[in-house]
Amino acid sequence: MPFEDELSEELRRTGETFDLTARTAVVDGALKQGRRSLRRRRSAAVAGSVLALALIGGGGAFGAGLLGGGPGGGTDVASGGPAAPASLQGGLSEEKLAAVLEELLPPGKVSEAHGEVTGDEKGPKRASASAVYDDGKGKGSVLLVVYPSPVSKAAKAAECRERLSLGLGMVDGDQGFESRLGMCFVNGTKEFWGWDAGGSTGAARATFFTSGGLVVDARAFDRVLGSVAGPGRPGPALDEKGLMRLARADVWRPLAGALAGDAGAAETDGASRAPVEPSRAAGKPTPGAEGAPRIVRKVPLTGQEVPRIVREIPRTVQDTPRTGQAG
Amino acid sequence: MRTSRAEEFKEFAAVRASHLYRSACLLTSGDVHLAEDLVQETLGRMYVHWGRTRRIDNPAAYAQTVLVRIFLTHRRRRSASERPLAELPEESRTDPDDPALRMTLLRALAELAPKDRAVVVLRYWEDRSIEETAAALQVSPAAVRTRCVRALGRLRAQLGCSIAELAAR
Repeated sequence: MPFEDELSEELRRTGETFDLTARTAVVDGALKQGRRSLRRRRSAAVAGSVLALALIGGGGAFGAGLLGGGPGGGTDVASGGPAAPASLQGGLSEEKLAAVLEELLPPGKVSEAHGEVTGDEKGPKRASASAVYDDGKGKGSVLLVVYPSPVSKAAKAAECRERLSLGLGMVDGDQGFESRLGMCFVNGTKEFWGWDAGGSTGAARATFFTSGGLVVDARAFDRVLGSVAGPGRPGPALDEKGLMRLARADVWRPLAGALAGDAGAAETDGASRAPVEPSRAAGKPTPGAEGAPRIVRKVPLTGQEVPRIVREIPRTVQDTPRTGQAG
Repeated sequence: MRTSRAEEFKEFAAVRASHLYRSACLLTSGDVHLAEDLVQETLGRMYVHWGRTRRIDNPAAYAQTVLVRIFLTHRRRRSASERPLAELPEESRTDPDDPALRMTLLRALAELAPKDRAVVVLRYWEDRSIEETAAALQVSPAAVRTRCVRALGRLRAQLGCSIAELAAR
């Protein structure tokens, strides 16, 4: 028998004498180590992308718009603000936030799921989760931010009420909400879908006010945030229903008691900003944010929570008054 | 989804851990603690890339490659301070049939340069071809051949005679 064959045989015999007795411990340790590495990489990626976007956009406004900005503003990641608490009192750790987001997303490929809790010495103030989602049409980022509802916003939210007879995510007609918003509506009509009249779509957003005083702000993009690759799909990663389902999930509600409210920061919360498309936001005022036509209509109060979806509306569409609800 | 990902990974890890551990034991010449660390790190890295791993044809072979690379990186980091030991670091479970031969073989492997040892393990334990071994080690096939010939020569010299004869003694 050639030496090589003998060696091969003997290596096999020798190798098989080693038995991994601590297999469970090794596998569990590997899982823990892998998750830690993943978290570190994602934190670095998010911090890096925020920094890059802030540099490109020339300031915090862009970064804040992109990141959703809770009561404490949206720049805490880039500015290296107060250290994030590891977990929430409500039981949702950063890891769980990411896991919950993954579970709530419709069937598809989910990657780079990441949870984050930020706050200050008083306690956690904002919880967020992000992931890259691909439903087969391409990759796009999904971002969800949860923070206590500022008192003034909660009061104004009473103007929008959910009508139970409508389908998930559907609200009766348009609701004026505040001057900085072009419009607040949920009707699923395609004509209002997009960033400009050219039909290009970049981002969509659904904000949900819970009766417990919580704002759940869900956003979907047509690209992977932090990537220079540009749009990875024809439209935002989630449609209206997907965004509303995400924002309205019951799982976020227990966070109301865990996140420290800051009513004074009412006007800086992310809900007052229109969704920002990464490449277009830089140094450019959000189209339609100021002076856009506002339609206000009182609707019978039938529910406790107020869902709304905010879109950038093509000017040609804004100019057309809408009545009733479509879709 | 996340849960299923973790479950899938755990299933993969549980199945592959033993084989990876045996490879690691051969690479480390019987240092079972280091072997466990290497396996854990390998599986940890596999978890990080688990989403992408689904697109890899053979995750098991990929894990093996990761293990060898981690081992070589580890050896490179420690090469300046590490010296060959007269005795193997720790004797793990002994083979009741032929502990002497196993020890001799492990000692002979320990005498090899880490990269030569990796070549021997990949070629004769993993049954990888020259090309596959070259790809795993990120070297040319010619370099693998050279290392293989050198390693076999040293092993033959270390063992003094054919393995079959050694086993018969």
